[in-house]
Amino acid sequence: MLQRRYLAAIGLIILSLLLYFAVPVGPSLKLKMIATRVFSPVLRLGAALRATWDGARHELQSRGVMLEENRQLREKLALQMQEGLRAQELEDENRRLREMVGFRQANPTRLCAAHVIGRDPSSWWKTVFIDAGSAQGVQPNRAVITPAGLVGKTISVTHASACVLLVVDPNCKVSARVERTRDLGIVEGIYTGLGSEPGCRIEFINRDAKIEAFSAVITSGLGGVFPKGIRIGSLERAPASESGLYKGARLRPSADLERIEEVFVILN
Amino acid sequence: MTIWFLIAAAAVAMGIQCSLGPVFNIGGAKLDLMPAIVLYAALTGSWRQTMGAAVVAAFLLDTPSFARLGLSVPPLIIVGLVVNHFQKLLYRDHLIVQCGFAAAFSLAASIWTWLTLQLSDAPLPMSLGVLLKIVVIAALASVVAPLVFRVLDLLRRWRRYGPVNVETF
Repeated sequence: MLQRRYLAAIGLIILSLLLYFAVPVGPSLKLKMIATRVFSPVLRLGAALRATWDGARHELQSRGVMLEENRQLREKLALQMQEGLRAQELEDENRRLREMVGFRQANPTRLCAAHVIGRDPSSWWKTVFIDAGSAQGVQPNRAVITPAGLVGKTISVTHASACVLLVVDPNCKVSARVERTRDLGIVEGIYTGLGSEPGCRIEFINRDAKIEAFSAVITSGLGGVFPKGIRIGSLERAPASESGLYKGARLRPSADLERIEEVFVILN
Repeated sequence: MTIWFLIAAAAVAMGIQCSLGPVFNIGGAKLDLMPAIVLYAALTGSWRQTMGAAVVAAFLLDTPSFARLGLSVPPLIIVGLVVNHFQKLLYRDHLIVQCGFAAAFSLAASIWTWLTLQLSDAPLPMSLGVLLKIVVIAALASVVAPLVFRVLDLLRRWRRYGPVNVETF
Protein backbone atom coordinates (compact mmCIF):
# COMPACT_ATOMS: atom_id res chain seq x y z
CA MET A 1 0.00 0.00 0.00
CA LEU A 2 2.83 2.29 0.94
CA GLN A 3 4.55 1.53 -2.35
CA ARG A 4 1.43 2.27 -4.42
CA ARG A 5 1.07 5.61 -2.71
CA TYR A 6 4.64 6.66 -3.51
CA LEU A 7 4.56 5.24 -7.02
CA ALA A 8 1.42 7.27 -7.76
CA ALA A 9 3.07 10.40 -6.34
CA ILE A 10 6.25 9.89 -8.36
CA GLY A 11 4.17 9.27 -11.50
CA LEU A 12 2.17 12.47 -10.97
CA ILE A 13 5.30 14.51 -10.30
CA ILE A 14 6.98 13.18 -13.45
CA LEU A 15 3.83 13.94 -15.47
CA SER A 16 3.66 17.48 -14.13
CA LEU A 17 7.36 18.04 -14.84
CA LEU A 18 6.86 16.78 -18.39
CA LEU A 19 3.85 19.06 -18.78
CA TYR A 20 5.91 21.99 -17.50
CA PHE A 21 9.22 21.42 -19.27
CA ALA A 22 8.56 19.17 -22.27
CA VAL A 23 5.19 20.25 -23.69
CA PRO A 24 5.69 23.16 -26.16
CA VAL A 25 4.15 26.56 -25.38
CA GLY A 26 1.33 26.20 -27.96
CA PRO A 27 -0.33 22.99 -26.65
CA SER A 28 0.32 24.09 -23.05
CA LEU A 29 -1.51 27.37 -23.76
CA LYS A 30 -4.39 25.44 -25.37
CA LEU A 31 -4.72 23.27 -22.26
CA LYS A 32 -4.71 26.41 -20.18
CA MET A 33 -7.43 27.98 -22.31
CA ILE A 34 -9.64 24.90 -21.79
CA ALA A 35 -9.04 25.10 -18.04
CA THR A 36 -9.75 28.86 -18.11
CA ARG A 37 -13.05 28.24 -19.92
CA VAL A 38 -14.10 25.86 -17.15
CA PHE A 39 -12.92 28.24 -14.48
CA SER A 40 -14.28 31.55 -15.88
CA PRO A 41 -17.79 31.25 -14.27
CA VAL A 42 -16.09 31.26 -10.85
CA LEU A 43 -14.14 34.37 -11.84
CA ARG A 44 -17.32 36.08 -13.08
CA LEU A 45 -19.13 35.22 -9.86
CA GLY A 46 -16.26 36.65 -7.82
CA ALA A 47 -16.22 39.82 -9.94
CA ALA A 48 -20.01 40.20 -9.54
CA LEU A 49 -19.72 39.80 -5.75
CA ARG A 50 -16.97 42.37 -5.64
CA ALA A 51 -18.98 44.82 -7.78
CA THR A 52 -21.96 44.38 -5.42
CA TRP A 53 -19.72 45.01 -2.41
CA ASP A 54 -18.17 48.12 -4.03
CA GLY A 55 -21.65 49.36 -4.99
CA ALA A 56 -22.98 48.90 -1.46
CA ARG A 57 -19.96 50.69 -0.01
CA HIS A 58 -20.45 53.55 -2.47
CA GLU A 59 -24.13 53.84 -1.50
CA LEU A 60 -23.13 54.25 2.12
CA GLN A 61 -20.88 57.25 1.44
CA SER A 62 -21.90 60.40 3.25
CA ARG A 63 -23.77 63.18 1.43
CA GLY A 64 -20.85 65.58 1.95
CA VAL A 65 -18.41 63.24 0.25
CA MET A 66 -20.82 62.73 -2.66
CA LEU A 67 -21.31 66.50 -3.11
CA GLU A 68 -17.56 67.11 -3.06
CA GLU A 69 -16.99 64.30 -5.55
CA ASN A 70 -19.77 65.70 -7.75
CA ARG A 71 -18.14 69.15 -7.73
CA GLN A 72 -14.74 67.72 -8.62
CA LEU A 73 -16.25 65.64 -11.43
CA ARG A 74 -18.06 68.67 -12.86
CA GLU A 75 -14.79 70.65 -12.89
CA LYS A 76 -13.02 67.71 -14.53
CA LEU A 77 -15.78 67.39 -17.12
CA ALA A 78 -15.56 71.10 -18.02
CA LEU A 79 -11.79 70.76 -18.47
CA GLN A 80 -12.18 67.57 -20.51
CA MET A 81 -14.73 69.27 -22.77
CA GLN A 82 -12.31 72.11 -23.43
CA GLU A 83 -9.55 69.58 -24.13
CA GLY A 84 -11.90 67.65 -26.42
CA LEU A 85 -12.71 70.75 -28.46
CA ARG A 86 -9.03 71.55 -28.77
CA ALA A 87 -8.25 67.98 -29.80
CA GLN A 88 -11.03 68.11 -32.38
CA GLU A 89 -9.58 71.29 -33.84
CA LEU A 90 -6.12 69.75 -33.98
CA GLU A 91 -7.48 66.60 -35.57
CA ASP A 92 -9.26 68.63 -38.25
CA GLU A 93 -6.10 70.62 -38.90
CA ASN A 94 -4.06 67.39 -39.01
CA ARG A 95 -6.50 65.85 -41.50
CA ARG A 96 -6.39 68.93 -43.73
CA LEU A 97 -2.57 69.01 -43.67
CA ARG A 98 -2.37 65.26 -44.38
CA GLU A 99 -4.69 65.73 -47.34
CA MET A 100 -2.53 68.60 -48.56
CA VAL A 101 0.67 66.52 -48.49
CA GLY A 102 -1.09 63.38 -49.74
CA PHE A 103 -0.51 61.11 -46.68
CA ARG A 104 -2.43 57.86 -46.59
CA GLN A 105 -5.13 58.09 -43.92
CA ALA A 106 -4.48 55.63 -41.10
CA ASN A 107 -7.21 53.12 -40.30
CA PRO A 108 -9.36 54.31 -37.38
CA THR A 109 -8.58 52.33 -34.24
CA ARG A 110 -11.26 49.82 -33.26
CA LEU A 111 -11.54 49.39 -29.52
CA CYS A 112 -13.38 46.88 -27.37
CA ALA A 113 -14.21 47.89 -23.80
CA ALA A 114 -13.84 45.27 -21.09
CA HIS A 115 -14.02 44.92 -17.32
CA VAL A 116 -11.25 43.38 -15.24
CA ILE A 117 -12.81 40.28 -13.66
CA GLY A 118 -9.81 38.69 -12.00
CA ARG A 119 -6.14 38.97 -11.19
CA ASP A 120 -3.24 36.58 -11.11
CA PRO A 121 -3.51 34.67 -7.80
CA SER A 122 0.26 34.20 -7.70
CA SER A 123 2.56 36.78 -6.16
CA TRP A 124 5.18 36.36 -8.89
CA TRP A 125 3.46 37.15 -12.17
CA LYS A 126 1.34 40.10 -13.22
CA THR A 127 -1.72 39.24 -15.29
CA VAL A 128 -5.40 40.21 -15.23
CA PHE A 129 -8.51 38.59 -16.69
CA ILE A 130 -10.99 40.63 -18.73
CA ASP A 131 -14.56 39.82 -19.72
CA ALA A 132 -14.02 40.16 -23.47
CA GLY A 133 -12.95 37.27 -25.64
CA SER A 134 -13.07 35.94 -29.18
CA ALA A 135 -16.84 36.61 -29.29
CA GLN A 136 -16.03 40.33 -29.10
CA GLY A 137 -13.22 40.05 -31.68
CA VAL A 138 -10.33 39.87 -29.21
CA GLN A 139 -7.34 37.80 -30.34
CA PRO A 140 -4.01 36.92 -28.70
CA ASN A 141 -1.25 39.55 -28.91
CA ARG A 142 -3.53 42.58 -28.96
CA ALA A 143 -2.59 45.75 -27.10
CA VAL A 144 -4.67 46.61 -24.03
CA ILE A 145 -4.88 50.25 -22.93
CA THR A 146 -6.64 52.67 -20.60
CA PRO A 147 -7.02 56.41 -21.24
CA ALA A 148 -3.92 56.87 -19.04
CA GLY A 149 -1.68 54.58 -21.06
CA LEU A 150 -0.55 51.07 -21.95
CA VAL A 151 -1.75 48.18 -19.79
CA GLY A 152 -0.28 45.16 -21.59
CA LYS A 153 -1.19 42.59 -24.22
CA THR A 154 -3.58 39.68 -24.47
CA ILE A 155 -1.88 36.28 -24.23
CA SER A 156 -4.67 33.70 -24.17
CA VAL A 157 -8.23 34.22 -25.33
CA THR A 158 -11.34 32.13 -24.76
CA HIS A 159 -14.86 32.72 -26.10
CA ALA A 160 -15.82 35.24 -23.41
CA SER A 161 -12.63 36.12 -21.54
CA ALA A 162 -8.97 36.90 -22.12
CA CYS A 163 -5.82 36.90 -20.05
CA VAL A 164 -3.78 40.12 -20.24
CA LEU A 165 -0.04 40.13 -19.51
CA LEU A 166 0.67 43.46 -17.81
CA VAL A 167 3.51 45.68 -18.94
CA VAL A 168 5.11 45.33 -15.46
CA ASP A 169 5.53 41.55 -15.87
CA PRO A 170 9.12 40.50 -16.68
CA ASN A 171 7.82 38.39 -19.57
CA CYS A 172 6.31 41.43 -21.33
CA LYS A 173 8.68 43.27 -23.67
CA VAL A 174 7.64 46.42 -25.55
CA SER A 175 9.56 48.30 -28.21
CA ALA A 176 9.53 51.90 -26.97
CA ARG A 177 10.72 55.40 -27.74
CA VAL A 178 11.51 58.38 -25.52
CA GLU A 179 8.88 60.89 -26.64
CA ARG A 180 11.02 64.02 -26.69
CA THR A 181 14.37 62.74 -27.96
CA ARG A 182 12.92 59.86 -30.10
CA ASP A 183 15.57 57.43 -28.77
CA LEU A 184 14.58 53.77 -29.03
CA GLY A 185 14.67 51.20 -26.24
CA ILE A 186 12.98 48.07 -24.91
CA VAL A 187 10.59 48.28 -21.96
CA GLU A 188 10.36 45.18 -19.78
CA GLY A 189 8.75 44.48 -16.42
CA ILE A 190 10.80 43.74 -13.33
CA TYR A 191 10.24 41.34 -10.46
CA THR A 192 9.64 43.17 -7.24
CA GLY A 193 10.36 42.23 -3.67
CA LEU A 194 8.18 42.92 -0.67
CA GLY A 195 6.84 46.46 -0.48
CA SER A 196 8.20 47.75 -3.78
CA GLU A 197 5.80 49.12 -6.38
CA PRO A 198 5.41 47.04 -9.56
CA GLY A 199 7.37 48.74 -12.26
CA CYS A 200 9.35 48.31 -15.43
CA ARG A 201 12.63 49.37 -16.96
CA ILE A 202 13.61 50.78 -20.30
CA GLU A 203 16.80 49.16 -21.55
CA PHE A 204 19.05 49.35 -24.61
CA ILE A 205 18.94 53.14 -25.00
CA ASN A 206 21.85 54.50 -26.98
CA ARG A 207 24.60 55.46 -24.51
CA ASP A 208 25.07 58.87 -26.20
CA ALA A 209 21.40 59.80 -25.81
CA LYS A 210 20.72 62.91 -23.72
CA ILE A 211 17.58 62.06 -21.80
CA GLU A 212 16.29 63.85 -18.73
CA ALA A 213 14.45 62.42 -15.73
CA PHE A 214 10.63 62.25 -15.97
CA SER A 215 10.74 62.05 -19.78
CA ALA A 216 7.68 60.37 -21.25
CA VAL A 217 8.11 56.98 -22.93
CA ILE A 218 5.74 55.83 -25.68
CA THR A 219 5.39 52.71 -27.83
CA SER A 220 7.49 52.85 -30.99
CA GLY A 221 5.15 50.80 -33.18
CA LEU A 222 8.01 48.40 -34.01
CA GLY A 223 7.43 44.75 -33.24
CA GLY A 224 3.90 44.56 -34.58
CA VAL A 225 1.93 44.13 -31.35
CA PHE A 226 1.65 47.61 -29.88
CA PRO A 227 0.53 50.51 -32.11
CA LYS A 228 2.75 53.58 -32.24
CA GLY A 229 2.37 56.45 -29.79
CA ILE A 230 0.69 54.84 -26.76
CA ARG A 231 2.06 56.30 -23.56
CA ILE A 232 3.81 53.69 -21.39
CA GLY A 233 5.08 55.81 -18.53
CA SER A 234 7.71 58.29 -17.45
CA LEU A 235 11.32 57.80 -16.38
CA GLU A 236 11.94 57.96 -12.65
CA ARG A 237 15.46 59.32 -13.19
CA ALA A 238 17.81 60.06 -16.07
CA PRO A 239 19.04 56.84 -17.72
CA ALA A 240 22.46 55.62 -16.65
CA SER A 241 24.87 53.26 -18.34
CA GLU A 242 25.61 50.21 -16.17
CA SER A 243 27.39 48.09 -18.75
CA GLY A 244 28.97 50.93 -20.70
CA LEU A 245 27.21 49.82 -23.87
CA TYR A 246 23.64 51.00 -23.36
CA LYS A 247 21.68 53.12 -20.95
CA GLY A 248 18.68 52.03 -18.89
CA ALA A 249 16.33 53.50 -16.29
CA ARG A 250 13.34 52.55 -14.19
CA LEU A 251 9.97 53.61 -15.54
CA ARG A 252 6.78 54.49 -13.71
CA PRO A 253 3.79 53.17 -15.70
CA SER A 254 1.18 55.80 -16.65
CA ALA A 255 -1.79 53.48 -16.05
CA ASP A 256 -2.51 52.57 -12.43
CA LEU A 257 -2.11 48.82 -12.94
CA GLU A 258 -2.96 47.93 -9.33
CA ARG A 259 -6.40 49.53 -9.54
CA ILE A 260 -7.52 49.16 -13.16
CA GLU A 261 -11.16 48.17 -13.50
CA GLU A 262 -11.98 48.96 -17.13
CA VAL A 263 -9.70 48.61 -20.13
CA PHE A 264 -9.84 48.81 -23.93
CA VAL A 265 -8.48 46.17 -26.28
CA ILE A 266 -7.20 47.46 -29.61
CA LEU A 267 -8.76 45.11 -32.13
CA ASN A 268 -6.96 46.16 -35.34
CA MET B 1 -15.37 13.77 2.86
CA THR B 2 -15.34 13.30 -0.91
CA ILE B 3 -12.86 14.53 -3.47
CA TRP B 4 -15.68 16.67 -4.99
CA PHE B 5 -15.96 18.57 -1.73
CA LEU B 6 -12.24 19.40 -1.89
CA ILE B 7 -12.43 20.35 -5.59
CA ALA B 8 -15.37 22.68 -4.92
CA ALA B 9 -13.52 24.22 -1.96
CA ALA B 10 -10.39 24.76 -4.09
CA ALA B 11 -12.43 26.35 -6.93
CA VAL B 12 -14.20 28.75 -4.56
CA ALA B 13 -10.88 29.60 -2.89
CA MET B 14 -9.34 30.38 -6.27
CA GLY B 15 -12.33 32.56 -7.20
CA ILE B 16 -11.83 34.51 -3.96
CA GLN B 17 -8.10 34.86 -4.58
CA CYS B 18 -8.54 36.12 -8.15
CA SER B 19 -11.39 38.51 -7.41
CA LEU B 20 -10.13 39.93 -4.14
CA GLY B 21 -6.42 39.91 -5.03
CA PRO B 22 -5.86 43.62 -4.33
CA VAL B 23 -7.62 43.30 -0.95
CA PHE B 24 -5.56 40.35 0.36
CA ASN B 25 -2.23 41.79 -0.67
CA ILE B 26 0.57 42.97 1.61
CA GLY B 27 3.26 44.80 -0.33
CA GLY B 28 2.90 42.51 -3.34
CA ALA B 29 2.66 39.27 -1.31
CA LYS B 30 -0.76 37.79 -2.03
CA LEU B 31 -2.85 35.57 0.19
CA ASP B 32 -2.75 31.94 -0.95
CA LEU B 33 -5.59 29.71 0.26
CA MET B 34 -4.45 26.56 -1.57
CA PRO B 35 -1.87 25.42 1.04
CA ALA B 36 -4.61 25.40 3.69
CA ILE B 37 -6.95 23.35 1.47
CA VAL B 38 -4.31 20.72 0.58
CA LEU B 39 -3.28 20.60 4.25
CA TYR B 40 -6.92 20.03 5.21
CA ALA B 41 -7.06 17.09 2.80
CA ALA B 42 -3.73 15.72 4.08
CA LEU B 43 -4.75 15.90 7.74
CA THR B 44 -8.33 14.73 7.24
CA GLY B 45 -8.56 12.44 4.21
CA SER B 46 -6.83 9.50 2.57
CA TRP B 47 -3.67 9.68 0.47
CA ARG B 48 -5.79 9.51 -2.69
CA GLN B 49 -7.82 12.52 -1.57
CA THR B 50 -4.60 14.34 -0.63
CA MET B 51 -3.05 13.76 -4.03
CA GLY B 52 -6.31 14.62 -5.81
CA ALA B 53 -6.62 17.86 -3.85
CA ALA B 54 -2.93 18.72 -4.47
CA VAL B 55 -3.23 18.19 -8.24
CA VAL B 56 -6.52 20.11 -8.54
CA ALA B 57 -5.28 22.96 -6.32
CA ALA B 58 -2.04 23.19 -8.31
CA PHE B 59 -3.86 23.28 -11.66
CA LEU B 60 -6.31 25.87 -10.34
CA LEU B 61 -3.37 27.94 -9.15
CA ASP B 62 -1.56 27.73 -12.51
CA THR B 63 -4.61 28.27 -14.74
CA PRO B 64 -5.30 31.96 -14.12
CA SER B 65 -1.61 32.68 -13.71
CA PHE B 66 1.16 33.30 -16.24
CA ALA B 67 2.86 30.14 -14.92
CA ARG B 68 2.78 27.13 -17.24
CA LEU B 69 0.46 24.30 -16.23
CA GLY B 70 2.07 21.79 -13.88
CA LEU B 71 4.39 24.21 -12.09
CA SER B 72 2.76 23.98 -8.66
CA VAL B 73 2.08 20.21 -8.66
CA PRO B 74 5.38 18.79 -7.25
CA PRO B 75 5.65 20.86 -4.01
CA LEU B 76 1.98 20.41 -3.10
CA ILE B 77 2.09 16.62 -3.71
CA ILE B 78 5.37 16.07 -1.83
CA VAL B 79 4.46 18.08 1.28
CA GLY B 80 0.89 16.72 1.13
CA LEU B 81 2.09 13.11 1.13
CA VAL B 82 4.59 13.72 3.95
CA VAL B 83 1.88 15.28 6.12
CA ASN B 84 -0.60 12.53 5.20
CA HIS B 85 2.00 9.86 6.11
CA PHE B 86 2.21 11.26 9.66
CA GLN B 87 -1.52 12.02 9.85
CA LYS B 88 -2.15 9.77 12.84
CA LEU B 89 0.71 11.33 14.81
CA LEU B 90 -0.52 14.89 14.28
CA TYR B 91 -3.33 16.54 16.18
CA ARG B 92 -5.19 18.22 13.32
CA ASP B 93 -7.19 20.63 15.50
CA HIS B 94 -4.08 22.12 17.06
CA LEU B 95 -3.41 25.68 15.87
CA ILE B 96 0.36 25.17 15.68
CA VAL B 97 -0.04 22.13 13.45
CA GLN B 98 -2.40 23.99 11.12
CA CYS B 99 -0.30 27.18 10.96
CA GLY B 100 3.07 25.43 10.80
CA PHE B 101 2.24 23.00 8.02
CA ALA B 102 0.37 25.64 5.97
CA ALA B 103 3.54 27.75 6.14
CA ALA B 104 5.59 24.69 5.09
CA PHE B 105 3.32 24.14 2.06
CA SER B 106 3.57 27.78 1.07
CA LEU B 107 7.37 27.90 1.53
CA ALA B 108 7.78 24.74 -0.58
CA ALA B 109 5.61 26.21 -3.37
CA SER B 110 7.44 29.58 -3.33
CA ILE B 111 10.92 28.01 -3.29
CA TRP B 112 9.97 25.62 -6.11
CA THR B 113 8.62 28.56 -8.15
CA TRP B 114 11.84 30.49 -7.55
CA LEU B 115 13.95 27.51 -8.62
CA THR B 116 11.98 26.98 -11.84
CA LEU B 117 12.16 30.72 -12.59
CA GLN B 118 15.96 30.42 -12.62
CA LEU B 119 15.58 28.19 -15.70
CA SER B 120 13.23 30.61 -17.48
CA ASP B 121 13.98 33.51 -19.86
CA ALA B 122 13.36 36.00 -17.06
CA PRO B 123 15.16 34.64 -13.97
CA LEU B 124 14.31 36.11 -10.59
CA PRO B 125 17.44 37.20 -8.67
CA MET B 126 17.35 36.45 -4.95
CA SER B 127 17.33 39.61 -2.84
CA LEU B 128 16.23 40.62 0.62
CA GLY B 129 12.95 41.90 -0.82
CA VAL B 130 12.25 38.56 -2.56
CA LEU B 131 13.18 36.62 0.60
CA LEU B 132 10.86 38.80 2.70
CA LYS B 133 8.11 38.31 0.13
CA ILE B 134 8.43 34.51 0.41
CA VAL B 135 8.30 34.76 4.21
CA VAL B 136 5.24 37.03 4.17
CA ILE B 137 3.40 34.75 1.69
CA ALA B 138 4.08 31.82 4.06
CA ALA B 139 2.98 33.87 7.08
CA LEU B 140 -0.28 34.86 5.34
CA ALA B 141 -0.94 31.22 4.38
CA SER B 142 -0.35 30.08 7.97
CA VAL B 143 -2.58 32.80 9.45
CA VAL B 144 -5.51 31.89 7.21
CA ALA B 145 -5.19 28.08 7.66
CA PRO B 146 -7.15 27.82 10.96
CA LEU B 147 -9.97 29.86 9.41
CA VAL B 148 -10.10 27.58 6.36
CA PHE B 149 -10.17 24.54 8.68
CA ARG B 150 -13.10 25.99 10.66
CA VAL B 151 -15.08 26.83 7.51
CA LEU B 152 -14.48 23.42 5.87
CA ASP B 153 -15.29 21.57 9.14
CA LEU B 154 -18.49 23.58 9.41
CA LEU B 155 -19.47 22.77 5.83
CA ARG B 156 -18.75 19.06 6.32
CA ARG B 157 -20.84 18.96 9.50
CA TRP B 158 -23.66 20.82 7.74
CA ARG B 159 -23.57 18.39 4.78
CA ARG B 160 -23.70 15.34 7.08
CA TYR B 161 -26.48 16.70 9.28
CA GLY B 162 -29.08 14.15 10.24
CA PRO B 163 -31.09 12.87 13.19
CA VAL B 164 -28.86 11.59 15.98
CA ASN B 165 -29.50 8.28 17.69
CA VAL B 166 -28.88 8.63 21.41
CA GLU B 167 -28.17 5.40 23.22
CA THR B 168 -28.70 5.33 26.93
CA PHE B 169 -26.86 3.01 29.29
